[in-house]
Amino acid sequence: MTETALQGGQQAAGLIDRIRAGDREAFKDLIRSYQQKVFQLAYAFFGNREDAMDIVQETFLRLHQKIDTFRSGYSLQSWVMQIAKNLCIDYFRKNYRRRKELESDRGLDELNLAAPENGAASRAAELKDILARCIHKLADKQRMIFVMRHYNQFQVEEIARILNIAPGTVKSLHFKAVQNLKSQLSPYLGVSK
Amino acid sequence: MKTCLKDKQELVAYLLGDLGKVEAEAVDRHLEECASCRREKEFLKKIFNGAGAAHRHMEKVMATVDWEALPERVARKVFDRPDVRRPEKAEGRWFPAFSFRPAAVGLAAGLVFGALAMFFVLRSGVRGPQPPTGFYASPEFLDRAELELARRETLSYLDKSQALLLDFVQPASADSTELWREGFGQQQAQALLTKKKYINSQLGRRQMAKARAICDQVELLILELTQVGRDLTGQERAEIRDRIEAGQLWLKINLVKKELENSERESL
Repeated sequence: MTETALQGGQQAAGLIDRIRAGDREAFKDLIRSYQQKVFQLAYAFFGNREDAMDIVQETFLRLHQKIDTFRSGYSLQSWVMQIAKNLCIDYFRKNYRRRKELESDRGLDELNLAAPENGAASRAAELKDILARCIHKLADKQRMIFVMRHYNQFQVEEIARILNIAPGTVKSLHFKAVQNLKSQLSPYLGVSK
Repeated sequence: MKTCLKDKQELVAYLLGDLGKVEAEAVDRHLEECASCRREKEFLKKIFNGAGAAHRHMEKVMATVDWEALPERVARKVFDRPDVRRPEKAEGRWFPAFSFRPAAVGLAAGLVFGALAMFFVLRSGVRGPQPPTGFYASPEFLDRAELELARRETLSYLDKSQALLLDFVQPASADSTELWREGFGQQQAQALLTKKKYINSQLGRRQMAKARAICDQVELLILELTQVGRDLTGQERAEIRDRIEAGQLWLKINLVKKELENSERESL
């Protein structure tokens, strides 16, 4: 991985100033710093490489359009992730709602998670698929928080900054997401609710 | 003794390593004692492990992306793309939309015709309901006005006739005799006869019947005066005076005048 997230407000502010002045290399540096974090968020959100790549490109195009609105002193990573998060939600609503409705008609049984002939690795892979499908069924904020926490591995405070909510709310929404996932997965993991 | 952790955020925080050392140790102790919470912990771990597996899978997918090329690709879109919003100029055409856009042509034609129509409407002035230009009066009003005019004309005629007769029948003074000699009285009598002709049509009204009778008598008298001429003897003058008095013409004229004046006041 080539990603090295920018540390310190001064470094970020300098980079933003150079981009505002039309510095192409500065813009590419910013992309290098955050492209993988954006990809992780989008991929976890959609489970689809092409959609995730579209979100990455669109995030940085949008960022360049809005470069003048960046407030100095604000976390550059939070700002980038905010843009990515908004794009993910919009894209999901436009393109995945119908798919989500269709999938809700399909039972999770079709994945045959508990098939004895499969090995442990295969079962883990299927659990991943089921989990991805269950994550899609979560409410927008719950889904976003679960993905940021477990895929991006952001801390609660960082998630709170990105979503512009209190850390306590992040914890509470994360817990609700876990409870909902537990409720959906319990029949397939052999555990009573 | 810690209460059961099932359905509590604390167990999730414990598994994610968000608890402090003291709190984590308290959860450890509780888990040793509580089978239900241990089951819950195992279940949550499966979910988080699933997320971990998804994360590992994602890293494999990420390895397939050319991260070095992506920044240049995005930068090219930002810095090198032609400005697609700038309309292309078609060479040699005054208004290229005309050649291939029927909707634009229709819109332009509509604008031109609308502007022309508005120009002519504004130039000729906006015509709203026009006030009546000619004199208008109701038939009742005209009838009343006509009657009023007839009254006034008749009153005027009677006044002048009275003055003329008075001048004639009074004992002849040197002045009045002179006036008649010079033909002034004759002229006045002729004028009154003309006026009588004029007011005859008005006297035909039902309301003016009484006035008409008197006016006719006065007209006859005046006609006679004009015929007897200027050299009227004292004897002839006395006869005329007697006829006026015998017919109580003076009184009748006054009564009619009074009546006309009263009816005028009532009509106001």
